[in-house]
Amino acid sequence: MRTDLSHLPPSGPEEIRAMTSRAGLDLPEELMQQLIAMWPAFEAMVRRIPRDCDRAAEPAHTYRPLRIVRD
Amino acid sequence: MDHCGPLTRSAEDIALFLQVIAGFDAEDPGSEDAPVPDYAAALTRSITGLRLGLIEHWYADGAHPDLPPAMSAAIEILRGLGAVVEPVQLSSLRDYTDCKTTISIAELYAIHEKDLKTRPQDFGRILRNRVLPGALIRAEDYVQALRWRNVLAREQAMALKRFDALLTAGALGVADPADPNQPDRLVSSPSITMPFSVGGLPALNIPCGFSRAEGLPLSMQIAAAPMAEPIVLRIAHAYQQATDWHRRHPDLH
Repeated sequence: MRTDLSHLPPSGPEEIRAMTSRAGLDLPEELMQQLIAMWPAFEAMVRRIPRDCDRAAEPAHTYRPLRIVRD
Repeated sequence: MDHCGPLTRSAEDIALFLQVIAGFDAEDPGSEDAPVPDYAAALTRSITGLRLGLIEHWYADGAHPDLPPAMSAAIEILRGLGAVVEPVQLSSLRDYTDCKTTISIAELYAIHEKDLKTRPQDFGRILRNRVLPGALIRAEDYVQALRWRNVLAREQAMALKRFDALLTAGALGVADPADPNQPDRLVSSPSITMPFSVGGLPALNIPCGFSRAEGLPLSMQIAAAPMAEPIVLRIAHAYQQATDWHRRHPDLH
């Protein structure tokens, strides 16, 4: 059973502009156009990530406190 | 999450270089407090009987047409030196690239956030277009990619219980022209150097031929278990004692 998000439609230019704005970026229009052109390829990668990996692999569970306190 | 390391003419030079730079750094949270082996001593050992897992499916499709035959020839040389080479199947190259890219661009964006917000035009186009998408990665995507990394890294660790080292191509093509207007290959095809960054394994690329059309080097990649750099160097050195690809220069005129 598929657990990734690759079935979702790609974000359109206005959604990309909104996400960029929410991230606090105010890009010149030329760079914004480049990001709009690039994002779909990256978005496809992100959406192919499976969503059913074990929670034991959580970053907080792999944090090694002894390494931090050792020094 | 990327690999960093020396770039030299031969595996022997890598061993000498690594001897100088290897060792625990208490200021580096990614540094392992482990003894430093004698890398040059590892080069003197034969590779007879070493078990090598060949990940052929990562370069079987979409690679430069001269690469698979160059790899096949390299494998035959390693077999001739006494290594036992058998195929091994891991997750797809695209899986590794998706996982690694998601983590990398989020982390790269965090590193460069201040400059990207204040002077994005000062970045080169290719780097900027690789890093800016990290601003749009959601926290849950990043966490899921980190979970997936553990799954993929465990898969490599399991393979390394059967094999002393893993072999695959070092690049799917030849070097791009030094042209800042080139399209960014990262988004158009998977990167075969990413999987061992996901696994955190020591990896080495060595030339294993030249393309006929461009006259540029093709390469083979060797990886082994964490801290097993001596095995990687031993295999590379044995191969370079039997071949001279690493001594040849491309004709760039």
